[in-house]
Amino acid sequence: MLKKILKRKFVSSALVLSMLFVFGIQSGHAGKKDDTLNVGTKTELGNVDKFFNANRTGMLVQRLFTDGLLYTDPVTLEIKPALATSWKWINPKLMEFELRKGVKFHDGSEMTADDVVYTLNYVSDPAIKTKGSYLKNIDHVEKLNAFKVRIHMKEPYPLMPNRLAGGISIYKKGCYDKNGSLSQNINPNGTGPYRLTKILDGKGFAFEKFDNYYKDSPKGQPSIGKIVIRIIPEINTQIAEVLSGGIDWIFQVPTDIAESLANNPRVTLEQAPSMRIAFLMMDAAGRTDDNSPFKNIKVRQAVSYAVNRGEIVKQLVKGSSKVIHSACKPDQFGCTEDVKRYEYNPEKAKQLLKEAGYPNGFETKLFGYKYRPMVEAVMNDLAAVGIKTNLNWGTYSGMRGAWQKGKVPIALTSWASSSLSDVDAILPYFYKMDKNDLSRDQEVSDLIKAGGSSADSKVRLENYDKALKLMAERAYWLPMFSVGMNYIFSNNLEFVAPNDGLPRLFLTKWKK
Amino acid sequence: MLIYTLKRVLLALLVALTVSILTFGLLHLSSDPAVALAGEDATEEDIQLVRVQYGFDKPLPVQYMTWLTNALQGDLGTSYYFGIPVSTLLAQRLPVTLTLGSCALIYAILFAVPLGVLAAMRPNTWLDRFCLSLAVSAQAMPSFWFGLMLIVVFCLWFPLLPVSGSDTWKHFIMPTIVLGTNAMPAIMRLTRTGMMDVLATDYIRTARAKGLRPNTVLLKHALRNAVIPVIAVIGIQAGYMMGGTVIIETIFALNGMGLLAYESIMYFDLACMEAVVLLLCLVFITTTFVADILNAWLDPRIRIR
Amino acid sequence: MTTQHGILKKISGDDDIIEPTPGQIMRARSLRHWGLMIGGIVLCIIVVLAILAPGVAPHNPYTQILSDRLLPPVWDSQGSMEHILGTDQVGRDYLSRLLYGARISLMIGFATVLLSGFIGTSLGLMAGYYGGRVDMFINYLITVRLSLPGILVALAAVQLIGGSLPVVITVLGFMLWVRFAVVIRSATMQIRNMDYIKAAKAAGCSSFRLIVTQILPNVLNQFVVIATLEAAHAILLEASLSFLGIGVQPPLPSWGLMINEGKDFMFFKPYLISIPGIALFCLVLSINLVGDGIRDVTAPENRN
Repeated sequence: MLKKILKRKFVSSALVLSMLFVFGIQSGHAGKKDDTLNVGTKTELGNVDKFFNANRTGMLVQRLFTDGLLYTDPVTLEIKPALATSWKWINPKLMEFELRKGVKFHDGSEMTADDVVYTLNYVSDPAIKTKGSYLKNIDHVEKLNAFKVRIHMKEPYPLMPNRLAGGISIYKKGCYDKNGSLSQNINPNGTGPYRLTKILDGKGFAFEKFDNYYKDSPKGQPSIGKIVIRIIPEINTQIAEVLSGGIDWIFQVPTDIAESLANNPRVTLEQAPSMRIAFLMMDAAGRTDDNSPFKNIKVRQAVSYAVNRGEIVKQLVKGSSKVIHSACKPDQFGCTEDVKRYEYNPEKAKQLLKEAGYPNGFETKLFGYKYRPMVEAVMNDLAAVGIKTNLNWGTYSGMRGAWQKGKVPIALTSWASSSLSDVDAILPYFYKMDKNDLSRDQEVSDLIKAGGSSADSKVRLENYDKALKLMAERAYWLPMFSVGMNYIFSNNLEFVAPNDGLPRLFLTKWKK
Repeated sequence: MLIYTLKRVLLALLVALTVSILTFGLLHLSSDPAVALAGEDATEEDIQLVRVQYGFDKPLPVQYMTWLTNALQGDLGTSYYFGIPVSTLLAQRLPVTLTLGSCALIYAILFAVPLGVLAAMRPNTWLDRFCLSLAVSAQAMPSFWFGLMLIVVFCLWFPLLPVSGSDTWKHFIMPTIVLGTNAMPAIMRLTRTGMMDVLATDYIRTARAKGLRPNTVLLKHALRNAVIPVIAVIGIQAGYMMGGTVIIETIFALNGMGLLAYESIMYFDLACMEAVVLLLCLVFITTTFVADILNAWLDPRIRIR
Repeated sequence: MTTQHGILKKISGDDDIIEPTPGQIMRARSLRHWGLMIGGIVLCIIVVLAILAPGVAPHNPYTQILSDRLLPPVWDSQGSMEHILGTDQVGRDYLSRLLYGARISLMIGFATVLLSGFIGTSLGLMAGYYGGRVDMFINYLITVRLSLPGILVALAAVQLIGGSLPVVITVLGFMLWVRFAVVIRSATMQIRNMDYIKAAKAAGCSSFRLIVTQILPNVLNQFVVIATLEAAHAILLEASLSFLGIGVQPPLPSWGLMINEGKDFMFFKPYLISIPGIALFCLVLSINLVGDGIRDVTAPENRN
């Protein structure tokens, strides 16, 4: 009965939020008092060493306590020297780096070429279970002198600088010898702006400012004394923590919630883009069935005309997301939006379906794993032109397993390009004539391959341009929208929202 | 008794074997292991790399036998996701779950049994209806809703308790209430039904007619017989609690077994999954065993064979 | 001239102390049992609304109008009579979805309980009655089921057969039989050794007959309690399964699904979760009241 009354009260009451404001929250901004930035994140991290994990919390942690040879500026996305002071391509399979002098590890020792050689040779060893096949493309690293190294690659890989500015950290020579993949969890030792002081098993991580952090670092000097990252899987709990002052900074907040939360004067909402895009993938090669309707270009174009992407983005996705027309994030290198565009036109879609021999539409399966409301909106739009879809909802691995086996006629999926600003981090994975490729178009595949194996940016741009135009013309994908990121933080914090979706926590400062 | 115990141990081993095979099979059915382990943005090469590194390219029976051989030698293996031995991982997670589970169980029994008895003594009165409404609310209320409501009241309106985490005893108050309340309806309703049945039997009437004190009748004669089905359900409930529940652990950011099991499924952490499931098995076998013994003790007519 | 009917009437007419038929007693008792009446009326209203949903619902529950999403309900200052309970996150009328959702949720609740109750009760009766090896085997089944996480079973099911209403009901049915089995088992064990059962056995009554005619009626009370618990459980669980991929097919609504979809908006649009929540509360309460009531009415010797 009591609960019943509570529930009733709930519906009609002036709603929780207004109550929050009325009663106010006394504590608040606990972080600034003891100079500790409290961060909440959703996913648990298996291993603090980015070489051995594949998740977003891992990227937060890695960038705090380690540095790479290079660094990506969060705003301009330009690659800058970090542990290396300069780099050059000797040939498409060989790079040379001058290393910075006077860089200290957290244990006080100096970083030299030996550390770089050791780390990269260890993680590129095929026998070591590191994540990321690009690591295995490193053949070996050669020391020229104490502050000069060369990286030899097995295959030409124009994205190598981006990778070195992303997930590749440098650790101390010999660090892996005793405990293998767990060594950074047992004895974390990087060169980053913060020291990883404590790993709270399954609960989070504690960091402290590193006083001997090298001057002239592109990451700047750390400002906040301590950072604590806590794992809080439930978004509503994160919100409660932010409102009660227990947490100062959260990310990956759904737009609707973020916008409501931003009405609270104590928090700031920052909306920024990421490298992730969402798209509809269609079985153009007829792998599900030789009679698959999606083999017909007119059907694929009909789908493209049928989905009201503008309305979906405006009403559902919102934030910094935009409708995209090409199979890549518009600001990636090699991406062009100057391709055939499909504006919302259900009449034309019906017409095309009729021409394709489906005057009454057809029934098919649509796969999805996130963006549920958007998926339902797409299903609704498709149903309006006569394409009835049955939803196959599941986990990403379940869906990807099915599409690799050729069981997916149409799917709404997404790709984050490993946060790299280059189409080579997206196109080759979907148009390579392999089991991930739903279109199997030799012409497109060849163009993309040509774009990816040249170091000449003009040649690359030309090939990608042609490939993207063909892909849009033949409507293999319906590019849907770019995915924005919402950052919510206490209003006494200064935070630089990144353009690649990878937050750099070391750049946060308390407001004066 | 000895033979009975031996039989139960044999049964336990059989259950463990079946469950480990089923877990293995279902996990492989539920997703592509290499894709799950490689992560959402993995390239085909990344996935292939994982497939070879972890031996997913080998036939399934071979993979299972490898795991089984190691497990039989006491080696539960290394967690795929955390990279540490599964036994260490379980040792980290178990205390949280055990603390929460036992607190919640005690809380649930302390409230549910007396309320059930009260309701049975005064059926169809306001007291009975109040207890029923309480039980219904607890049933119809999703745990996450209740948990978040508690957070709103005790953390935002009246900042008395910490929102989430597991550092102090204060952190366990709200999760205990949510988890315990979840288990209450079944215990309360069964106690009520059982009591009402027993109170109407001849021997209770006889006892009353003999002029025994009402409390003696109630506690010594009636409750003893009424709780037998209740104990069975408490046994299961205890098993669920010790196994941890994903929703409550998620809401209060408690890193216990429930969350671990969920993550293991999502990240295809086979070694960890198998260990969690075997542990659950052990918990359920123990609780049902204890429940059976307790029942036999309470009602000697139930012979244990 | 008196007809035969008249004579009969005359005979019974002056006989005021004649016992009413059992049916009449039952009817009278039912009418006096306010718990049963209230529960019955609420349950009937829910069922009737569910059946009449196409006629009663103000809008088509599947029509999305994205620009009208998340409209507040009528009691909010910005609400309107157009959408009495507001709209959901893709702009579908919430009241219409609630009404249509009642159909699915009722079906899931009842069908699941039928299936799981049948499985659980048969197993529990057998285990409790026969004991020994049969009991061991059923114990084995129970422990195996309990140790397997439901999520894992659900994910495997969605990969194998995909999601649809019959799949949800089957999966839920095979997930929720355990409590039936365990409780019925121990209740049966208690009854098995009672004198009247022994007597019936001695009289040559077959085991099947004994179980069905003697033991089953005596464990029915426990069955009803568990059944009402599991019906609510099934309705809520369906939503979690739906988010794993084996719930009802969108755009079909269900209360569990609506509760789960409203979850993320809990702090800012609490009506999204409270409305289906209250509906579910009423349903569960009425089922419980009816269950209790039927028990009281049919087992008068238990009434104090």
